Amino acid sequence: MGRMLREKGEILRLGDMDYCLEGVEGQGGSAVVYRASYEDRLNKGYFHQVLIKELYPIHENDQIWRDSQGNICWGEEAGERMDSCRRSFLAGNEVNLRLLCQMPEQISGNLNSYEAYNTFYSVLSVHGGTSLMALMEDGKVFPGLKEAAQAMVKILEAVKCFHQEGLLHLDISPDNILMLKSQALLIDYNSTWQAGRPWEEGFFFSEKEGYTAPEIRLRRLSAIGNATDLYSVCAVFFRMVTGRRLCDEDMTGKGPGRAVSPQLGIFRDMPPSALWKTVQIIAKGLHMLPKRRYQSADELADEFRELIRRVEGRGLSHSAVWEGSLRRLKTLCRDKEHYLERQITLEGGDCYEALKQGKEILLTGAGGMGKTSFLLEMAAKNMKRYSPRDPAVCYVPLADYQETAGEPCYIRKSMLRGLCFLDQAEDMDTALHQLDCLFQEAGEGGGGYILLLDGLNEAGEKRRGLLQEMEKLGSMPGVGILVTDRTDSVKAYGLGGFVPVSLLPLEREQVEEALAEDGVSPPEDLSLGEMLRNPMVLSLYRRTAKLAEDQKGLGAGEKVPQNMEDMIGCYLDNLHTHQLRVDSGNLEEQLRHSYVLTHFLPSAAREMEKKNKVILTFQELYGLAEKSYRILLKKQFALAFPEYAGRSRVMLEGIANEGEWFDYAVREHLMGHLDLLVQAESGNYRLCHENFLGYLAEEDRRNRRRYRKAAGRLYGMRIGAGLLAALLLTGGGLAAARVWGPGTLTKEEKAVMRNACQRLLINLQLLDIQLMEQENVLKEAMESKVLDGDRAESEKLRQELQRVRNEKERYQITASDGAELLEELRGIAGQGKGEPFPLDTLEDLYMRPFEMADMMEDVLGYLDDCLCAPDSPYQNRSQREPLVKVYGEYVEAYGDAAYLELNQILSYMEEDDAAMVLDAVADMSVLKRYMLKYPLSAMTADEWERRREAAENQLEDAKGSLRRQNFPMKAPGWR
Amino acid sequence: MEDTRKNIGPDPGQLTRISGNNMGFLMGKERTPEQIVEFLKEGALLRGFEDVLRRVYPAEDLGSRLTLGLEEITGEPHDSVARKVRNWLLGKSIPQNRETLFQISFILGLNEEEASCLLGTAAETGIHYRNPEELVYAYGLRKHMSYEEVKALKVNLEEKGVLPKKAQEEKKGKKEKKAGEKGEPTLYTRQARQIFDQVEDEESLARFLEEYRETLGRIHETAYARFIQLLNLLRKPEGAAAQAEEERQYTMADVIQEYLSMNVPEGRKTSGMSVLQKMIKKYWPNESSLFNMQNRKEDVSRKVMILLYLITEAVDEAAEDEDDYYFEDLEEDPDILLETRIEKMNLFLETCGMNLLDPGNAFDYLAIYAMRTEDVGSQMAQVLDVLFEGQGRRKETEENGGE
Repeated sequence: MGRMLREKGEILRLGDMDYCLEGVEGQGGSAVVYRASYEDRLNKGYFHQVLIKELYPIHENDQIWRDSQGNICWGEEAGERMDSCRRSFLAGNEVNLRLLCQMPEQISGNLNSYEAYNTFYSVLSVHGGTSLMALMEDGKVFPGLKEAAQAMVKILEAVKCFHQEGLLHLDISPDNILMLKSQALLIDYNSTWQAGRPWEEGFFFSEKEGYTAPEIRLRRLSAIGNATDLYSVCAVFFRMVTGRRLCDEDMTGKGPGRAVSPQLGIFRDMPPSALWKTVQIIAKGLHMLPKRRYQSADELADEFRELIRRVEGRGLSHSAVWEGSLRRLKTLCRDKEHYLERQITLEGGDCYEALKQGKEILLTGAGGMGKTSFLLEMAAKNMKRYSPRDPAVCYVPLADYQETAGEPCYIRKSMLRGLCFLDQAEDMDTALHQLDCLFQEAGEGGGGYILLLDGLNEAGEKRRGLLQEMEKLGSMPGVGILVTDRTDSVKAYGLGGFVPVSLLPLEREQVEEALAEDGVSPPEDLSLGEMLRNPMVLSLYRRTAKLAEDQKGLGAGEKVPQNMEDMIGCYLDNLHTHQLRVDSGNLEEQLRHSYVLTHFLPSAAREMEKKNKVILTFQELYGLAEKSYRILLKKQFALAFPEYAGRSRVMLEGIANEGEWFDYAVREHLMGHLDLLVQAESGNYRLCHENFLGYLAEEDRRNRRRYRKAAGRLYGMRIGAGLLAALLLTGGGLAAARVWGPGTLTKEEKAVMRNACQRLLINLQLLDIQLMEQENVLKEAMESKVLDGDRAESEKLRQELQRVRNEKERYQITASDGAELLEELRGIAGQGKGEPFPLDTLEDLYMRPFEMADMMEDVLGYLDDCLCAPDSPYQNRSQREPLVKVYGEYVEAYGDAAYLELNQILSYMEEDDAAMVLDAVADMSVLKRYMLKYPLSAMTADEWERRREAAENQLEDAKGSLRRQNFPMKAPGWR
Repeated sequence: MEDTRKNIGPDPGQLTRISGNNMGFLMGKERTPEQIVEFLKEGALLRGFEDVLRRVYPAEDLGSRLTLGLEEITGEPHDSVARKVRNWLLGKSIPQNRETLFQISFILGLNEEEASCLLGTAAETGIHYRNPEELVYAYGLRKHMSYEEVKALKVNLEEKGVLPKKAQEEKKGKKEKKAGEKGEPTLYTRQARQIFDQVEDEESLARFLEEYRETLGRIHETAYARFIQLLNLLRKPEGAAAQAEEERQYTMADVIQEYLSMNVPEGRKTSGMSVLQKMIKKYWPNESSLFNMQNRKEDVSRKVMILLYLITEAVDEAAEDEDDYYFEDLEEDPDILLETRIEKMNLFLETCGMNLLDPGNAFDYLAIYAMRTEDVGSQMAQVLDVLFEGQGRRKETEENGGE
């Protein structure tokens, strides 16, 4: 049946007044509100508009109804409900009247109340306006963030009236908020409660999904208070922002703050700082615990006012700057070491206070003195909680300035980054203007700003603009500014008004305490003790001592660092050793780490030094990574740094390309594990401390010298046998040991084996070079116009052929037939040790570079005659091409046969050892091709033998072709 | 729609002596799983059935009133009833079924809230306001009826055809149809409770049962919906983990093994277990109970809901990844975090129509302890491993190398 509402046009008589009902304005659980009018008693024909609220509770079983006379009636079972509703109506009415008396302008009007028709009526004023519910029908988002925030401020004004009177509304929701032009009114006072009064049995809580605070839901009666109403206000805001009601999952899951996505329509074109504030309001305002929420309507209204400021100020406000700075600070301080208190030479001593007064300070200190830590500590200490009365402390590193080519307004732009949209030039201009206005306001009594500008010495050479900006900012009354530099030399030409102050070294007691904390005894060397008063040295010393402790006995104790460079070297050495220990058992990882630490990082430092700056851009560092990736694969590198020889393949296993190498070396290793590289907010990279630069750059110079030397040897083909032996030491030695069985050989015999393997690889290397040089020259001949009889080209080829012949002579001196070694090996084999080793095959392999050298003599001379001599009988392409082709085929077949011979030897070695030898081959130019041709696995010994025969046949065929082309084949190798 | 609910009973926000004592041990300090288990064995005040009985009925004649009343209702011999009651009051045993608990409530003249509390202590959940039979009992309690009177009322309602006969309803293995299956609107426990609050006489009770006959049932609907939702989360892991799992879907056995077993020994055998261990093991989910819950053959248990919530939802904003640039985390100390998590869990339980967390309950206490850490699920498993002295280890054993 439901409620029987009064009809439109019906006359309702209350007291001596007749009200004409015009329709239903709204209905709640306990009352109906009608629109009505009555005629003015003096000016006839004029009508007053009113609202009439009738107590008429809904009852599930229709046990409350209206009789034909219009009286409200109820059955016995509804008696209790009716009583309780009457009580609430009276109490609500009373609150309304009381508040109206005290603040008529802020409370919805109540003209009179009556008991009539067996129920209660209130005649209420019409204020116009719209209920908030109507303004945000389901799914509708509020017009804009600013409008939403403005509405909230109005609503909070209304809530404040209640709270001021010690009343809780306890039913704040869109349907109970009336939005007027200049204010909001809370209607429906039926759930109001005097705060602090004991809760009565039978009190009805209004519970509305999405608006009622958890403490009401969970009946935490003692927790119900102002924060309960403010929760509902924030829930209304949540609804405005997201377009939906808050649900239980928001509250029980990750929290309402997470439900606010930056993608929401209401945030379109809104600055990031406005988004932050919105999320903060929602997260704090809808906190599960009342005590963690906003505690007063004023406090919350201030937050909305701040939100409005951020929207209007394009993201900028004093608190937005403060917050942006805090965010930055949090990132910077993430891995900060424990801070040791510092003293400065400032009169009065309190740097922060001086800056708060708007002072300009130039703070000087040598490298490693802890200027950055001092600034970060000062900022962190004074930014625990925001207050509009305290300055916003902004830390700006100057190192990135050198990348900007003297960009104007560098400092202010750094501050703006992340706070507002700066995509368009005009955005930037507006934002800068806005920031200047904020600075200006600060001078007129605002909280002010403190700018901590770190590292003038790192800002590069062209810093005129930067100094000008500092001076300008320093002259602003609400801005305190501190610049750090190594010395105060800048005072000679700039920063006139800045007071020079120096950062003092640590106190001796502090050093002792810090060392005692680690259980490290202070160094006996007094000069070192003095050095430790530099925080950077102290920190390195502590870390070194710690690493040394891990490595037991290695490190710090053995060599006493005499200066910063020594200390850094000592630290890096220990770090390196530590890393090797961590990776022990994993040779590849050890080598990778070593390479990154001793080659790649120094190259980055050297690059910085070369460019005279302390940062590298992503492109620069990436370029270096690419280079280091490629170098690792180079033969020269293996020669210069034998520990890496033949390892590149395993070292780069799982690293597909330069990009992945960059990720590994830079992100995972140097930034991730070792913290030796740091990425600044701008995306540029810098060393963990500038002081490392010199040391590392020097290491890079050492590396380069070695590399050049090795490269020179290689290009000159003067491969020192000793060096090559060292290069092959591991591979060869181990491989041979297996053949005779481990443990069965004496020390001397082992040495023979080792030498034999070294010799093998030296000769193979030589052979590879021979083959490569010939392939190159043949390729050149094929691709040039020599084949067409071009004179000039022929002359060039002649020179090239001559060069190859000369080179051959030069490197031939490193070859040896290994006769003595073979003799010794035969002696060992004669004792019946181990399996029969194919010594003849080894001898063949040893001889190959000699054979090839002689054959080359024959062939290169012949090619010179046929292709380059003016009177050659081979004049055109059809005559010349076959010459080049058949010899190319022969070289190919020769390499093939040699490789298969090598493989036969390898098959007598253990798999690991063989793999090491193959690693060396993998770095060769020609022979490595055969590794791909013959995959190591999946071939039986028989198959290998068949391949070998096939290769021999092919070689014979190629020889036949050479004969047909009249190649002179006098050298012994041809037979 | 505005919905109002009557406020009855004491403020659960005020910690009782028991809760205060137990929470005091947890707040302000980091405790190891060993310390917690030790505390539960000695020092913790666990809210026993007898404590609740004494709280809801503080009068001296508790024992004699119960004995007399039960004798009358059940017709059992005096000695046997007296022994049973004595054991309850000495904390040696608790009533095993809900019917007995309702009988006790009627004998002691408890109101709905008190009876709910008693039921919650002994049988996991308070009065279930969607279960037609329990609704009749609730009505009886509201109207201060005797057990005999309410029994007569039940028969009356059964005869009228508005209350299903118990025998029919509880046919073994009967699967309850899913709410909304026939197109009728789903009636969640909370709503049922609110509408039921207005029932004032027998006629309106009959009308209520008649009107909502199709939608009432034994299953907590909201809890069931959340159960399925959370279970699916575990069965089909989302995000990065899912890719690694190659979209493998977990079987119910996997879910038990991976998440819910938590080092609690398998099987029904409890001989040799301490009272504390038995208390925790009672109603511990296994594969078949999860299947039954999923298939609506049995109601979703509170223990399962708490465990599922612990594993899936008991994470805070602060624990989120740092990429969430727009979110400024509110730094909280561990106690505040714990308090927040407890209230979140309570809201979750309240939505599911289940009793809120009780620090005087051993299982709840362990859950609360686990919630003080970042990795709630594994902390829970750890403390249970200590409690069961490693006898229930399954997954963890392999991972921790059998520590």
